[in-house]
Amino acid sequence: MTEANGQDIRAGIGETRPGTGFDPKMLEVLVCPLTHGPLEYDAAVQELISPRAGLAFPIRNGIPIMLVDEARPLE
Amino acid sequence: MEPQAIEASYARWAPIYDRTFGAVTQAGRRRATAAVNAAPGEVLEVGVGTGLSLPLYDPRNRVTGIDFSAEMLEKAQARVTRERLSHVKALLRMDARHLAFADASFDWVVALHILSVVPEPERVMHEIARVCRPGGHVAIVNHFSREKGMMARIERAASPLADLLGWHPDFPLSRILVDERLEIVRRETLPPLGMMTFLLLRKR
Repeated sequence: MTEANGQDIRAGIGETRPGTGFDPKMLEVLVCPLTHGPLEYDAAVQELISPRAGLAFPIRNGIPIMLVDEARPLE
Repeated sequence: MEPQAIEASYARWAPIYDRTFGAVTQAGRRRATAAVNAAPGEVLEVGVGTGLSLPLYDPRNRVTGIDFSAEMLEKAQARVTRERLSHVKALLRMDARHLAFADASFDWVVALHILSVVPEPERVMHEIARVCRPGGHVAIVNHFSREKGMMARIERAASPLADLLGWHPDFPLSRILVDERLEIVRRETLPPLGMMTFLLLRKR
């Protein structure tokens, strides 16, 4: 499973298969859980950035972790 | 129930969940997904778990699943890949009290056997109401405690075991009927033994 997911992530935008890899179309409905503000997708490091909250939410194996406790504070 | 207790309980149960609790709750999943499939659309399943319901959705739906448990989501993701469930567009890890979705994002919000095990179900219901579009529906299956009789006494006696079971037998319906934007349009008891209730709510 890990191997397949790794391939999907490297394949990037438009190449994601269901359930693996993050589909950027999700950004139409996905917001920051803290501020309800918009998110920016950083495909290179697999993070969803909430500029308003100053937090980066990680995407692991194609699954976004939308928990404030697991988010990385931005410098 | 405390979030840590829930996560510990799910981590312990994940390997055998499908064959135990999963097997006895299938009627509820079938009833709720049948309601959704009658009017397919954008669907959010809160507490998707190992994804037992995902194959039951009509492929015309676009389904997003969330859960707090990383272990459960990994199993759900493996199921999506294995069974080629192309109608599942995303699986995400979230706290149901703080949904990371914009207002009115979904035609359907589905919560199966989850509301009695989340912390602060009232807050979860307000979040469910927020992300459901006006005119959209919320499909709920849960066990709700009976107010009187033998089963009521058994349920009350078992309630201190809630954290151990990862399931709360002493859970009244009133705890989820807290958001005035949601009105009940259907209420059915389900087999086996009428233990589970199906509720269909409509967002005003």
